Amino acid sequence: MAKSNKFSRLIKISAIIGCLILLLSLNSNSTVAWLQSGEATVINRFSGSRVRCEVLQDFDPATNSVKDVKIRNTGDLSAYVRVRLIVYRKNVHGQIVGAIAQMPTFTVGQGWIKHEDGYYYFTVPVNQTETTKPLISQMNLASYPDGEYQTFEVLAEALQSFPQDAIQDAWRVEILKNKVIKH
Amino acid sequence: MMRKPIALLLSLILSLSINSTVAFAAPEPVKASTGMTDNSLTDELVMDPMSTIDSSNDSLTELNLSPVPVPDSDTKAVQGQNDGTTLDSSVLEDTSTSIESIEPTATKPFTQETTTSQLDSILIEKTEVDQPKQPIEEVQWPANIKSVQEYEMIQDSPSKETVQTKEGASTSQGVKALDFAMNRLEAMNVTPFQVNKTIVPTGKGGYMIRLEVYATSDIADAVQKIFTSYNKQKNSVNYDSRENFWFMVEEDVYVPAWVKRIPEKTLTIPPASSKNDYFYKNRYKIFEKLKNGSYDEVIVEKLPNDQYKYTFSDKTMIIRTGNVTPNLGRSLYIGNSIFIYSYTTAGGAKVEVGRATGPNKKFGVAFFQRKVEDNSTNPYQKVFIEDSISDYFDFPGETGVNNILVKTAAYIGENSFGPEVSDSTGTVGITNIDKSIQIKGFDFLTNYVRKVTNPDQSVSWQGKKLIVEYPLIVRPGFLGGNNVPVSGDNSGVFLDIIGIEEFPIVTLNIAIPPIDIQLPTRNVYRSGSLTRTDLEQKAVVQVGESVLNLAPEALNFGLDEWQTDFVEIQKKLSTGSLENMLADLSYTLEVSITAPGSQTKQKSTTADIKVFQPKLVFKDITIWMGEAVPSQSTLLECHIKTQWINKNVNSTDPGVLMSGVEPTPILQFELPECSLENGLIATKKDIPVGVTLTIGSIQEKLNEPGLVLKVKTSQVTIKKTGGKDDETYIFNIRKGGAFYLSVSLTGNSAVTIYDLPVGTYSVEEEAAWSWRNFSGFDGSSTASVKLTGSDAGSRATVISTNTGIKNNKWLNDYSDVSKNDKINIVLLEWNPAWTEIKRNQIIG
Repeated sequence: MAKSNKFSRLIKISAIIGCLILLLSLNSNSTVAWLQSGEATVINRFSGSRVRCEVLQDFDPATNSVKDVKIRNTGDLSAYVRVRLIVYRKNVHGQIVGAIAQMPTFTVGQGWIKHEDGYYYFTVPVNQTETTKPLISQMNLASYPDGEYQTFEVLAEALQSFPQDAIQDAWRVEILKNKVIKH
Repeated sequence: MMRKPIALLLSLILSLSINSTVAFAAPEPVKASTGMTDNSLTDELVMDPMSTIDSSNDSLTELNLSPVPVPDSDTKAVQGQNDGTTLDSSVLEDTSTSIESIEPTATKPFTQETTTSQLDSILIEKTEVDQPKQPIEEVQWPANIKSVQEYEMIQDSPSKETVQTKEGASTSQGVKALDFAMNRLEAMNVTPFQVNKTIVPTGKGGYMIRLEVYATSDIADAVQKIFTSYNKQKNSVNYDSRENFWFMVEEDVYVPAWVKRIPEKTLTIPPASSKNDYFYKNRYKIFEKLKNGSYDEVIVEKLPNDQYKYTFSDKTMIIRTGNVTPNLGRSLYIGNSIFIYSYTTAGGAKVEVGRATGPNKKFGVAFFQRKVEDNSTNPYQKVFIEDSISDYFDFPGETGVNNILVKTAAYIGENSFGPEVSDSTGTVGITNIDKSIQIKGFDFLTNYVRKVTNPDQSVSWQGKKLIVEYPLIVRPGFLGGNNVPVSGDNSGVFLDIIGIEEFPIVTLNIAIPPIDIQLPTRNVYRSGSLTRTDLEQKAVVQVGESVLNLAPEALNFGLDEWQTDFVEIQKKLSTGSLENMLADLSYTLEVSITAPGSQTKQKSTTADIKVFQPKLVFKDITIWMGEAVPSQSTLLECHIKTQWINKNVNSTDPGVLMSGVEPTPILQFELPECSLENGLIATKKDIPVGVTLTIGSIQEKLNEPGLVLKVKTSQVTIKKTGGKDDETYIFNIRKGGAFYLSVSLTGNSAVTIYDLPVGTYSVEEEAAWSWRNFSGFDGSSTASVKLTGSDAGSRATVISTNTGIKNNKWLNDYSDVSKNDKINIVLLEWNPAWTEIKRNQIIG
């Protein structure tokens, strides 16, 4: 009888584990980590990791200038961040107009480099909830006659910082000593 | 010498009276039955071919003889000398008796009365008494002198023609003037007529002429003297043989041919120093040839002041032979003049007038003849008055006899006349051609004013004065002036064709009529020109009823001389430069009319010269941004027409009259540099085209040319399909291979790029950003877009489609696109400090 109880208990435990595994396997949106179980039976709870980012910037209409352009890691993983800057001209109707819009000059902020692909990379990973140093501390936008104005877009992309192969695979940049380096 | 006693008596009276208080000899009663038919006389006088010219004065023939009164002044004068006794009284009585005895039968035609006559002529011969002993020379007649007419032809006799044309017309001024000179009776020192002439304005440019004329006793006497011979022409049958007499004075001169025919003559050229003294010195005698063939010497007596008295058998005349300048209102030299006066009974009267025109002139003769057909026995009734008006006046309307008032006033006391009463006994005539009136039929002889001392020593006053009133107006068109003579020539008292007394010249100051100047507004095209002559010719200057012609070729402003005889017209045109006018200006015409003295009338008028500016009218033209600049010819085709405007007035508006030919403007176009780039339209805004206008020699750039290029632009839309909603995509647009601009979009959206110039573009998605996906434009990584200058070709849409996952590893995230113009509207409590929300302001 004792053996049959142990077997029954094992079956029960195995069934529970199997259900958990099954349950975990049904969660398609979660990153599946490879887990190894020890001897002791521990019930672990898993949640899906996220990479998120947002752009922070200030605009001073009095001086028609952009200030403190930064990227915040709003995900739950450390991530590398890169930024694409776009400028163009709009008319009084808010329409993009065909004209060459020169990027205003600015000083690339500390911790940032401009890669040959034209993107600005924050060289080190940004931990979750953290914010990069400013890419642009201040940049004055151009003004045009007839009510036209310069529109400045900041597009940011965050990419999981580990493994570093991911950076090289997706962004085609090199990481040296955990820093994105210029080609 | 043969003398009638009465003639001797008259001569004596003449010699005694310095005032020519000469009582005339009473003519013998006319006897119609006494006729003389001496054809030899006729032959003698017919040598003048003009003797056949007839004259007519019908009115004279209607007159009847009236009793010839005795001049009272004569009587008075004689009384003063003789205490009113004896000689003169008897003469008066005798004269009165003689006049009263004149029978009306004298109206019988002259030709019937004239029956016979001996050769009457005057023989001038050298006297034996006073003639110094010197050889007698026969007159050497020029070989070419064959007749009287030829003789006339070689003489400088200004009055000759007028004398000839005067026959029967009595309008020749020259003759009348001459007649005045001859017959004013200055030589007789008498005042023939008393004339008062006054002018009274009646308003509105009208005047009333008032003439008062009456004969004095002196003129009655003088006229009688003249007409004694005149009558004798008609009544010569009873005038024994003295029908013909001659006056003649000569020196160093040819004697007319007819003189030569006097068989008894002996004529010697007198010495030059004896001029004017021929007769007085008795170097020559004048003879009357009497009917019986004998000659009666004419007594010549020199009086003071170069006057000579010629005493014939029954008459005496005093003729002045010195330098006499008549006061006739015209310069007529009649120095050394004397007139040959003859008459004949052979078919008519002949009056021949000759004159020597100066000491250095040879003897001049002018002839006229007239045939006396009337039988009037009262020469006084042949006296008439004629008053002519000058060129500067007219009779109002159709002035006729009814407008001429003829009145008389009786002489009632010393220099006093009674009430004026209308008198219809005279005849009134008006000659509009001569602008004169004639009053005939007033018997000056009967009505000469006088004081009569009756035999009982009582005094009565006799006679009348003739009063004539007639209106006149300033001749329309006359420009006025000062001292304008009212009377024309030949105004005076006439005895048939002979002037006796000239009326005084009366003048008026005639106001210069108002001046009105009408200047038209002149319209010219820009850069047009006008001339001063043109401005003047278009002006209408009216002075009264006359319009001045300001054309340079117009003499005397196009007016007749009489209109401006007393004024001076001046015009002055003031204006700016009339060449290549670019802006409005004005011109002023000033006309002044000045009459010497105090009258000046002036008028100044100003008008505009409007310069019409060109307004170019263009049709719309559209051009696409990025196209080449249109050519000059293309732009010129946009010029539809040219309007010429002056202050909202178009040159084609009704009533606008332009001067000059509308110029053809030459246009040159120029686009502003800022709208071009490398020869292409580089602006999306309308482009005002600069226009340089050339008109004539003036080239200028117009401020508001009116030609605008309407610029259109193109657009391209980029659309993403197959994308993820939270992914951003970046597209790069190149133009002509060069980077133009970048845009982004999120998810399956689209973005449009406006205001693109025409051209070829390429659109490519930035693959480095979209590293996870495959995408393309219909299998191509790049989309090529060609935008052309047309509505259809100016819009293009390219679609980028994600075709699959290229990389499904790693975790990443794209942020939202952060744009500085993004405005997030939030509801906030209103803060007054907020005045506006700036475009680039990020709120919230």
